[in-house]
Order: sequence, then C-alpha cells, then structure tokens
Amino acid sequence: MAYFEVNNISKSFGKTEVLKNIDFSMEKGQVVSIIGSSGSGKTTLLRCINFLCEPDQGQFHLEGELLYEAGEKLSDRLLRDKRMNFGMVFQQFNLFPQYNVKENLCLAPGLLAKEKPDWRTRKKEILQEIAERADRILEQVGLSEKAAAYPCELSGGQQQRVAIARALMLSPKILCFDEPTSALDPELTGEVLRVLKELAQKKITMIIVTHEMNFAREISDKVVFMADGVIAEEGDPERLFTDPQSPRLKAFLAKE
Amino acid sequence: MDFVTITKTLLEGFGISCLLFAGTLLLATPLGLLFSFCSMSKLKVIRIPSKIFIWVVRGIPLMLFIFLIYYLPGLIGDGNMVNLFDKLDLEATIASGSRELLWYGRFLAVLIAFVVNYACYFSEIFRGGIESISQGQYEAGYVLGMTRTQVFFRVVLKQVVKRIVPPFSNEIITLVKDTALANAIAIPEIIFTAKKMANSAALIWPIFYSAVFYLIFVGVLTLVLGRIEKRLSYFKV
Repeated sequence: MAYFEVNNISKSFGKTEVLKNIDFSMEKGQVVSIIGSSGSGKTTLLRCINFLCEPDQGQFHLEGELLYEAGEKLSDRLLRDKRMNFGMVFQQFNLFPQYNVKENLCLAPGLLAKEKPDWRTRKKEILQEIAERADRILEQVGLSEKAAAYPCELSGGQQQRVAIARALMLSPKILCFDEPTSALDPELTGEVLRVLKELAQKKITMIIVTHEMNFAREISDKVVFMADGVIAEEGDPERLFTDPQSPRLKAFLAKE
Repeated sequence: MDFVTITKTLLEGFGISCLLFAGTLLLATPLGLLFSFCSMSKLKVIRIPSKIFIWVVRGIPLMLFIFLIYYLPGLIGDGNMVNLFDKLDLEATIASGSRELLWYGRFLAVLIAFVVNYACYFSEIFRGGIESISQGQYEAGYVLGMTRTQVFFRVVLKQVVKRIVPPFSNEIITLVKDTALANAIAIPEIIFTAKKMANSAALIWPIFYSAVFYLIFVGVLTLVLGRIEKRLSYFKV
C-alpha cells in the first residue's frame, strides 16, 4: 500500500460537482504536483486533504491505515489530531499580522506543548527547544535576520517563506502547498521555489498545487493533471510534459 | 450663586453622568459581544430572534426606550400601575430618612435601558469587526493544530480590536452625550442640575457652561482612544 492514498473522493458545492471520484497515491518522500486550469478542483482537493472542507464521499489512507472516511463525524479533538498529519501553506500566506516572524513560528507549537504532561515541570526547557527549533528553521529558509520583523514589513516572497517555516515547525507527515507563488510578483517566485527545492532534496513529502509548469516538471516525482473535477492524466513529469496523452492536457499545455 | 458653587454643583451632576457612562461601557461591552455571537450563530433559533431584537432596540429612540423600561414593570404584573423603580426610590428614601427623593431606582432603570441599547449597537460593531477578518486567518490557525477558542483569542481578537477601535470610539463618544437623556426621568445628572439651577436661581448660563464638562471629558477620551489606536498601529490587518 502506498504511503498516502486518496480514494474515490467527491465533493459538490450545491449542484456543482467540484471533485468527481478522485483517486491518487504517493510514496513517502515524494513530491506530487497537481496542475490544471482554474476551477479544475485542485485547491478543493488540497483543502479536503487538510480537513478544511468535508468531502461528500471517499477515503484517505495514511501509512496503510484508514485516516478518514467521508461522513464520519469527528470530534474537534480527533479532527485536529488527524489534520495535524498535514501541513498547509496558503496562496495568501495567512501569517498572523500581530505577531513577529518568530512568534508566528512559535505560537502553535507553544500552545500544543501546554497539553503535554511534562509542561508544568519542563516549561522553560520546552519553550527554549521551540525557540531553538524556530531559529534553525528560519535559517533554513534564509530569514534568520528577520526573526523580529512583523509580516507587514516583509515582501511577499519573505512572507511566504515564513509561512513555509511555520508549517515546518510541526513536522507534518505531508506538507501541502496551495499555489504558493500565485500571489507573488514574478521576481519573487524564485526565492520561494528555491526553498521548495531544498525541501524536496531533504525528502520531505509534499503535495504542491501550482501553475509553475517548469518548476513542477523539475521538482516532481509525479504530476497529476486535473480538469473539471477529475484526474485527466497523471504520471512521470517528463513523460507528461513531453508526451501528453489526453486531449485536455494537450490543450492545457499548448496554452501555457 | 457664585461661579465656584455652580461649578461644584454641576460637577456633582456630571459625576452621575460619568457613573452612567462607565456603568454602560462596562456592562454593554460583554453583553454586546454576546449579542454579536448570537447574531452570527449558525442556529436559526438563536440568530433570527437576536437580529429582530437588535432591530427593535436600535429602531426605538433611546429616550422612548428609557420610558419603556421605566414604566413597563409597573404595567405588567398585577396591573395596579405601581412603578417598580419609583417604589424602590420611595422605600430607600423613607429608610434613609433623606429629605430629598433618592434616585437609585430610576438610575437602575436608565442603566438597564442604556446597557441594552448600547449592547445592540456594540454588537453590530463587533460583528462587523469579526466578520471582516479573513477566513484564511482561521484556517491557518486550524492547520497548525489550534482549537477554535485558541484561534479566536490568540489570532483573531487582536485584529478585531484594531479594526473596531475607530467605530467603537465614535460610539462611546455618543454615549457620553447620550447620558443627558437620563434627565427625562429626573436623574440629577448635569443637564438636569443645570436646568434646576435655571429654574430656581434664574440663571441660564450654567446650562451652556455644562458643555465645557462634556468637551473636556470627550477630549480626554479622544486622547486615550488615540493612544490605543497608536499602540495597535505596529501591525496591519
């Protein structure tokens, strides 16, 4: 069984079917890119995976076990536990504006640490560990000197790198990116893509919804092409881009 | 009557105005937050009645609302038209042996009217503030494993506060001046005191002089609120 499997996921908003029986799987350490035109359901799929949106039918399997089956009513706590297998980086960054960069990174891990049994006795050490981890991750995304800056003082590219760092803080099993460069000026996309490449080299399992075709081709182990709520074609990136089989992918690549 | 005596008397009246202001602000803020949650509730049985309630309260002139609260408890019940708040005042006056009729009962009526009225206005400000925060902020919190409560108090609230300081400032400045309506049921606040002086000592200028008290108070309030706004200016929402 694959590391992560999406089985037969469907989702409608009113009468519009956004996802129709989506199936795909990926292995640990792989990078899967999801491409396709706007409105093809890419973002909705990613939101379903992150439990931000409830699918009407289908299942998710993670590490060979059933993670979620549509219709299952989850308590807030269980929902959160399941959700935390995944990390999410949004198109609009969604940094918390009132916190500086480092606080953005440390807020959620700090709150989670409070639930640990050793919180009372090891409070200081735990917070110290979180702070050190934040420093390491900020260095990794090249933003050590911006630790005390507020989001409004950063460029879009820097904000997105902070958002990636924030997601990395919780070491999710699968890190999801929803068009991470779409809100950026063209000259700022490079720095974000560079971080993504480094993460791929470190074998971090990622699902990336993107419009950057060259990037998807270069970084991915597998590319999934979605159109009108279905996976029209998927496979090896080289093959997909050089020799598309489905007419819809041919048309899509011709436009790009 | 000399200037100092008049100032002192007016200041006494203004103390009562301030008491009404502070009491309303203190009680209407949490109540307004509660109303705003009710009017945003997913449950129709909560949302629709609260929206109707807010519509009714905001639709009635505050002065009329004061009369409503003041007279209504006497009209319902056994129907013998005893005014509950007057009864309280009468009993308190007799018990204390005071030669002047006390006003605590009537003050209670005015306070209730003010708190409910302002809670409704505040609730709409809060609702606007809360709804203006992008869904992305909530989602970012959720995917980081935060609970709803944590997202509200750690992420959303401060952004809401920043958003609502200007409209909220407006509303509480209005509140300062609305306290003058309490004179409709003879609460000895500053306008009532000034009018009494005009009648008894045939002096008209204390009525105009009372404006100075409001101006100073609103001035201080503006400075304080400006400070708060500035303290929140380090981030953008």
